[in-house]
Amino acid sequence: MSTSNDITFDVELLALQLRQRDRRAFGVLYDRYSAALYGVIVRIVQIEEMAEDVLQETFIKIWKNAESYDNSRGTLFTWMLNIARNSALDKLRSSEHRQRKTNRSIENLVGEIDRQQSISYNPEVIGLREFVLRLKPDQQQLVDLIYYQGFTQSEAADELGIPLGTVKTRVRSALIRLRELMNAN
Amino acid sequence: MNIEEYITSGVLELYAMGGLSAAEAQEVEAMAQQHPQVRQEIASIYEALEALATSGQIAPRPELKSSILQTIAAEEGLVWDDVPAQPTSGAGVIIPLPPAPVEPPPPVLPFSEVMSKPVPEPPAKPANVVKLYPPAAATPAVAPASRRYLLAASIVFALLGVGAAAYMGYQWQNTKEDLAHSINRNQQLVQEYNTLKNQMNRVVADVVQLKNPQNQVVTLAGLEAAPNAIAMVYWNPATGSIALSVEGLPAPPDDKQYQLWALADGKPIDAGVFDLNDQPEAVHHMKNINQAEAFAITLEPRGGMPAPTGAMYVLGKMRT
Repeated sequence: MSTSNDITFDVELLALQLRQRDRRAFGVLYDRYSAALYGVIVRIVQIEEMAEDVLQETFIKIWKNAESYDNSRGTLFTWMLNIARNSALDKLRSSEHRQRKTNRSIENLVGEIDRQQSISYNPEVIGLREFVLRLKPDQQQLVDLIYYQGFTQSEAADELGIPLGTVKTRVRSALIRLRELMNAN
Repeated sequence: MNIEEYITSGVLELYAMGGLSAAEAQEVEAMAQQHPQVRQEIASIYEALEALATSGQIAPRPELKSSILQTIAAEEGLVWDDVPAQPTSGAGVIIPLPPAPVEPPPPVLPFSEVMSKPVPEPPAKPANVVKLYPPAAATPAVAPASRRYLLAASIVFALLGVGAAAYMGYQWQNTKEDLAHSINRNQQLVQEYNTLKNQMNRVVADVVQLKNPQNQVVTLAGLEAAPNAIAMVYWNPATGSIALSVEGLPAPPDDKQYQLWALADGKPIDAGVFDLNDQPEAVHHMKNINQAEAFAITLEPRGGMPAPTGAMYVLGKMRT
């Protein structure tokens, strides 16, 4: 990683303390990452009340499963992000929201722009919009489907009616674009 | 497919974003295990996704934090009670093999170089570990020489402690003084505030009285004794209340006071005395008068007279 060793060390120290069930470290983690995790969760479940539930589940899992964090497989942040994303997607898939999700994927076909606007109801998502809006619409659509709606590559290919190979190259180009934007900032 | 093609195929992005089936993901993990470049690429994809999450952060309601911490505290109690014997980390607490490093089992998928950092020592139960390798046996008894050092050190620490206590005491004293000062100041402000509030209330009452549409307003013009003097009487015939303002009256000697008279049927009626220097907010409030055709002010002995005896300074008739 190119980021400062101090920061990495700091985070790893937090991870270590977390595994020792250090509540203070947990509080620090919460302060540092809850907004980022909550942003992803809100974007996935789209209902504030539900998002709060998911955030709680996420942090309980982080607390309970701290031993399963393995820094050789990614950063602590990534680990927590994956927990948050999976919890949110689980919530979304739970029966009562099956219907809703199907509706949304139909809207995808109709007009991605409209959907984008309805997602961005929260003005605090400006940063995200800045990032995402600079993706091409087709890239953005794919990132939404896979990352925020939990589609697999083949489901996404079906959904959009494009070949699997196109899904791959498009996801690749989207992420390259994200990395460029990130480095530019 | 060579490794370059594999890296640029998009499959690693799909892996990092969770867009692969379980079987597909396992293939990627197997590749990652073999090829450092693959691990490197996955790490930078994760970094981009972290940046994406950071750029889209939304602060949750502040109350949520304590609610989550409380929930965890509650659950934690259960965990300790329910599973007392079970170690909480991957490392066994009871390890019969003395030199066995207390380490979690090697990860199934060791992306070991991704983080390019040594795996930190497992946090497992330091107390237990110490018991397995009793250090006391290996440590020689404390030598007399080092005892002297210990004594010296303890004296130094004691002195430092005294110094710290004195310093804290001094600080405490300062703090107490500051606090007393603040309390004083606070009381002053409260007094000032009350004074202002009362003054304000009086002004408002005056204004209310003055702007009453029932008022008869009489201008009293200066007479010979004080040609430049002028007074205004605001008389409400319905209630009898009188508000008076004066200007240009000469300061009276200490034993004298100005007195206001209402004249009805040619007879003067006492409407009260007033001092020039009692500085009312807006007007002097005089005695109530039920009947008046004119108003006048004379200079009388302090305390006022039942009938006017002194010189008349101003006089004004009601408009009829």
